[in-house]
Amino acid sequence: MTRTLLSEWTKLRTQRGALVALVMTGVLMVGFSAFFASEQQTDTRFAGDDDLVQFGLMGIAFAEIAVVVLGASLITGEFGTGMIRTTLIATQQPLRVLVAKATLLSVLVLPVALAASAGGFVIAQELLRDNGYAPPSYPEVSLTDPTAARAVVGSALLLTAYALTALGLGTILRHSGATIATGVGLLFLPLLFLGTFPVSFARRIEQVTPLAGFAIQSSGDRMLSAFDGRSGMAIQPWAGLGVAFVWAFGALAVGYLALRLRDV
Amino acid sequence: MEAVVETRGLTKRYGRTVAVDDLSIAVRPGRITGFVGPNGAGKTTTMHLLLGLASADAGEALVQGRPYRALERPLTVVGALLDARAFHPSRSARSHLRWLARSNGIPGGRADEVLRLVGLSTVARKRAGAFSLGMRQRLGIAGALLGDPPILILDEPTIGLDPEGMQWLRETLRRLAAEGRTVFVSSHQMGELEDTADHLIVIGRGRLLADVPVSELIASVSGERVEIRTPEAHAAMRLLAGVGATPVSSGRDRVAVEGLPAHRVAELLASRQIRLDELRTSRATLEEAYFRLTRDAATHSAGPVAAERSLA
Repeated sequence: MTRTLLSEWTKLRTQRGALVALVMTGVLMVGFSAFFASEQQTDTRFAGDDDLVQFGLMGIAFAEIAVVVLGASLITGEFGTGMIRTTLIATQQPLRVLVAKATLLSVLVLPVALAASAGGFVIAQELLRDNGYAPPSYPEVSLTDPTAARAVVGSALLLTAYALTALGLGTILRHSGATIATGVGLLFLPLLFLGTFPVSFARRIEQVTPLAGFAIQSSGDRMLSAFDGRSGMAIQPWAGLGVAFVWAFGALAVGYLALRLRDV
Repeated sequence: MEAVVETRGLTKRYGRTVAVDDLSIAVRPGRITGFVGPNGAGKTTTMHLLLGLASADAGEALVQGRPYRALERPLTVVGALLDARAFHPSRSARSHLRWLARSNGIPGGRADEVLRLVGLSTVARKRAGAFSLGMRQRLGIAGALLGDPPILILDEPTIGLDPEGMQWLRETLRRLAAEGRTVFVSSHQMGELEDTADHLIVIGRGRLLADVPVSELIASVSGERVEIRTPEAHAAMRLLAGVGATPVSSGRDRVAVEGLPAHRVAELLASRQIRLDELRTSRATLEEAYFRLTRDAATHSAGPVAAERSLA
């Protein structure tokens, strides 16, 4: 296993596309969290109604695209070139290869996403305050507040889950374009449907799709205050994050089976 | 000599097509075994089955008596070259060999060693994506040699090589075989293996057609043929037919003779004082032998295509 890890690490280290995607994850997380915050204006009619914690982490909507690309790039490139055969000749157990890739992916994404979430959050809070999100309607939130800390750490974990989901999808689909399209679709299509379906169905979407993970960003009693006006959490924060990880491990498990049962 | 690469009743189907059909072969060490057959004959599929990349529908594929998947540090047992394009284009040749070495606990310095061996030292840090097909083949062979394995399985290693590269490959394969290694090389072009392989395994539509030494294959298809040039072609033909040979006129003053060795032809003509301007012997080339053998089995001319999977 150590050999496989070292081997996959050497691959990753020398794959420019993956490194670019990792850097982009951080840049998009910080950049768009700040950008959304700078554009967000208070509405004095509903003072205290917005979730400042969640508003400080909006960059995730773009960072998640970068982690999907990153997760996919770890395996689809190998299928594209045929290098997967060399990989499986060198390490005959597909499970080892997949576990090594998933481990390295997590180890890389988590710290980068954590730093970017925290950085973006802090910058965003400054900008939000400048836009009128100030006490008394909006008490100051800091990184050390339990809900804020949970949201920041949770966002990093959520990005990790999405990256792992993309790795699993890539192992199943064996094609970069198809994997990125499916991964991004899986994250964004539910959002589009939220407004068009009856409330009960929309809540179901928030509970069972990878979107459920966004619950971890909430500090109030609403899940996606930017997207829907309904009150009440469709799913609790940690449970929502758990759903996202169920998707990740489910995709990886199916990917493993596909690698094991289908000829390469 | 014990076979180190073998298949027993190996069968692989893709849908309704049988790519490998009850194939039993044995590849022995210390010589170069050519694995030939037309495109789609099942060569690549057989190699994939040997390397555990595909699973067989029936029979077994063994390396040193075990399935490939059961080998410990497989690169130190079998070196394989499958697809010359199988590199990440942005990774350097050296980085490619380094990750491969790591996966089997081979010291990183070995990467530079094999790069020197295949003549790629000067481009070791260049992107593999910028390599010509010939250079990629060399990099692929470097990868196969990485673990200093006693067995080499090479799928179409000559594709894309220039004459100099071909010469280099021949010498390399001969040296490796002379060191006692098992060298199993596929090709769809028989001519390429004529001067290289010691032994041939010929397949067509997934079935074994021949498993013989190269010399025997040529002999089995055609005996020696003698061609003569003489102004007295008619007299010569009558004379040769009289002793049981089969002379055929092949031009105004030319006669082709089968069934009589060259020195007997010369003796006979001399004894009747028939002037002989030229005498030469010709043997069927490996190519001819191969064509005769595979004609009936050619997937292109008859029956459903036994797909040798095109692996894009």
